[in-house]
Amino acid sequence: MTTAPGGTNNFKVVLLGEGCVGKTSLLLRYIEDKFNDKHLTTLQATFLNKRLNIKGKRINLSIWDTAGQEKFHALGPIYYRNSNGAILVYDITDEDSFGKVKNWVKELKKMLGSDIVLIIAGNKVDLEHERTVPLEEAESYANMVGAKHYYTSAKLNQGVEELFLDLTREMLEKYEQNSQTEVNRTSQVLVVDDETPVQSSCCSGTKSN
Amino acid sequence: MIAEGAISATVSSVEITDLRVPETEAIPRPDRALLAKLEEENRRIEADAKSASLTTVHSRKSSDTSQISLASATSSSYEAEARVSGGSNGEEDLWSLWGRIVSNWETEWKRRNQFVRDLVRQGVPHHFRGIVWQLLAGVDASPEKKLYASYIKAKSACEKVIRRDIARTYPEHDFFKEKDGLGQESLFNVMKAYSLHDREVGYCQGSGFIVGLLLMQMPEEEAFAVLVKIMQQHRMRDMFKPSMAELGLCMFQLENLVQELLPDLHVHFQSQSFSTSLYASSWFLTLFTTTLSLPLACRIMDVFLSEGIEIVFKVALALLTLGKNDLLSLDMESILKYIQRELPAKAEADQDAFMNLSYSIKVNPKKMKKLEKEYTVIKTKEQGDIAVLRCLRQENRLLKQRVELLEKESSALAERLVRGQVDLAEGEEETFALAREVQALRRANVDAQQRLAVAQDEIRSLEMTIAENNSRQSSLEGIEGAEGGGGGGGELARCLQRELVRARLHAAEREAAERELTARIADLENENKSLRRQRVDNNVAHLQDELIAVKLREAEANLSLKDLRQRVSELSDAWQRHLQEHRQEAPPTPVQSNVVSDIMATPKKLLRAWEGRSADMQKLDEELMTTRIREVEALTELKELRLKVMELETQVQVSTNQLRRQDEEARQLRENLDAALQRERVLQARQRESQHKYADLESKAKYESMQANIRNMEDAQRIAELETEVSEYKLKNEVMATEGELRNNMDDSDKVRELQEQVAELKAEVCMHYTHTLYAYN
Repeated sequence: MTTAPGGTNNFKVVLLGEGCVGKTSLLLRYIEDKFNDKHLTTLQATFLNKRLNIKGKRINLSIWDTAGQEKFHALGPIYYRNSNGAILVYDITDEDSFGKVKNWVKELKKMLGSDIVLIIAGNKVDLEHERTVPLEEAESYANMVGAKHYYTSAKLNQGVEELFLDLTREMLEKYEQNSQTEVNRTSQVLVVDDETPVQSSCCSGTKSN
Repeated sequence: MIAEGAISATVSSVEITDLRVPETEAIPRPDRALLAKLEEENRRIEADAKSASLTTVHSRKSSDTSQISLASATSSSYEAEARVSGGSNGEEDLWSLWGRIVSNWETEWKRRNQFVRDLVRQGVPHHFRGIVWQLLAGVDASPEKKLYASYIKAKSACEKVIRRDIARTYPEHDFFKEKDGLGQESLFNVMKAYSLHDREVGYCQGSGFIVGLLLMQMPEEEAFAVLVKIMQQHRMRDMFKPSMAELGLCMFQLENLVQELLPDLHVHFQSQSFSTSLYASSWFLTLFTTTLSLPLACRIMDVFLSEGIEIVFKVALALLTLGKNDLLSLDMESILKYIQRELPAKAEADQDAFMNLSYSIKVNPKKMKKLEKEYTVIKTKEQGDIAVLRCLRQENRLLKQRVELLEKESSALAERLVRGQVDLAEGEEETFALAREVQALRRANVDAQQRLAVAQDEIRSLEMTIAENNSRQSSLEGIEGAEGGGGGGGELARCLQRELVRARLHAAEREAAERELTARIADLENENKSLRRQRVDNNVAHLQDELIAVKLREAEANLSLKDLRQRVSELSDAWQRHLQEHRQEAPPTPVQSNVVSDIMATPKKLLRAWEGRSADMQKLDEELMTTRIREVEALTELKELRLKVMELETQVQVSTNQLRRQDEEARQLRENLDAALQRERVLQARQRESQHKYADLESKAKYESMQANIRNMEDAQRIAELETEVSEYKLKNEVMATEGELRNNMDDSDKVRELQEQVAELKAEVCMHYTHTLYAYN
């Protein structure tokens, strides 16, 4: 959201979702193009930067990876506050994790209004044969809440690059729109800041595997 | 010593399950056997107490460590640990020392607490670790062990969540890496058991690493018991509670310690908005097992179990101190990476030095208490703020809704107002148009009045002429009477003819006038109609009146015209007759008048006069005729004038009617105006009313919000009261529990007393016996 003096746009993106849906793996795949099925449970939020160029604009993404278990959100929603985009990850073989995505959408809409670009990612499509979250349900839900829906597999490197690229494009668009209506936005943001501490427990995203 | 070492090594081995029971029970036996030797050594070591000079070489070291390394995956780290204990020389002594301590734990722990603690700080030898941890945690006879079996069989709500993290806990470690292997299974069992044992905490990510570390040293049951102790005794339970409040507190304390001890770093972190929880929360949640290597984590766990959570702060600060210089030059992302990668490597490089650095950091317990208090204050304040904020937000929402409603109302009112104003403007326009009409009518009225005045003047002048004519007529009659009727007949006839012509002319003129009048009537009628198209009904009556008046006038005029014609014909007859008489009996004078015969009555004079005056007579006759004609003329004129008067009168009437109508109209307009004004007033009143209502609503809203505030405050108070009550109940509960325990203890002491009594009795008996035998001897 902030523009550095050099003309670089800084966007903050947060990965949210139930534990073990693949948040960390998506991030690892995107940033380092690696897959490690032996990484540890994410216990504290961490972030990585990614620089890219879109439409001749230099963009720096700060991608925050969070711990998935609900308890960890008592520590404060500092992770998604001021985020420009959120990737809500669920595991296509785990219906509960899709339910958590719905909770996240609710919380984010409440806290940040429509200032945040939402992306819903159904991860682990390499386990398509074990799918329990119906395809149409996920897509129509995403449609309903105005979020884009992607199918990804961090393991097979499917859809990861596109997801981040599209998210960045949308954030850029929103940012450009918003800079025209700056005044409205700041007021909304104020409300958001106020409310953030209240919210404690919705699930947050964590890593993946 | 050898036996013991072997046993403790097997504790962590994969095959352990079978040996588990004998192991725990077996420990005391070899201990007793070794006790004598160990005590000797012990005395020697005690002499140089805290220096812990463990310098004797032992040849068994290498073989032992290799045995250990088989049991756990990280062999190199154990060699490192061996170094920690002060070189290979001290190894055997250290072992024997630890063996002695372990075998005589309670006494050693009580008698030489500080010494044992210091020894723990040096690192517990791997062989002893499992047992020492249990001893430090005090789980020897803990009831949790018995519960464990039942927990294993039960189902937990957290199973799914726990399973999800199993494969992600020590995934590189031999013991845990096999999917659904023994390690993963025990990990799952212990964590499930704990989630059942402590339902409030349930399962929390991070605890798995602690359990895993324990499982590397001891079997499931013991690991579970130690875990329960760790959770209960060392703040860890609070750390993993759903709100994770303890973690927040630890972060706060650590942040303040960093600020105190490493101010530069604190400033740098702040400038990078790098919050403590970003790097330190996993340190606290997993006691460094996810950050540092297992040997180092084990050493930290040694100290943690003997000294408590303080060591976590110390190690954390030691880590930051190690990396301080590097960290100061890094940005946020690099700090994170550095803390995750380089910093642990730095600490690993020399574990002893690192641990000593940690021990050298002093954490003032008073300061920690103070920070805890501060944090609680901040938290409660924050919570209060949040509550207030929530109240305010809700209030705000309500007020917004109300404002919306009021705005809607107000816009409706504004609309109505606008409509009213439009109506008013229309009314004003109408009024203006009416006023203009009134003005026009007034002008017409003035005109009519002027005309009326002119007509009256004319009437007056006509009356005067009539009066003059009358007087002239009477004078003529007088002359006629005095002079008789002689005179030149021819001239008179001509004169009369002229008069006749004039009379005819007059008649024609009158006819023209009459026509004019009819035209005028028609005009007036038209005018009337155009003026009062709206109120035709009224006007028709007026116009009919006028018409009747006009017709009457016309009839009169016709009548007088006929009269005049008759007169004229009479006159012309008389004139004919006169001319004939003249021609037939020129000299003889026709006996025309009584005057002449009167004159003839006087004999002589009259006869003379008769002859001489026959000509005069004729003249007089002619004159008479002329006068008569004139009279007729005058009469006609008079009649004409009367007609005119009548006409004028009708005109006046018409004008008055018109005036009346105009007045009426004006009144109506005024009424309209009044009505419009009234409507305006009503609208204004209504507007004022709405404004009042608006103000009322606003004040009401304010009042309600105040009430809501008050209610919220009351609720908060009530909650606080309830909380105190709850804590009271908890206290009571504890008191009751302790009472229960006490009662049990009392039972024990009763038994003791009984036994003592029995002993006393026995003693007495013995004494008796003794004395008896003495007696007997004597």
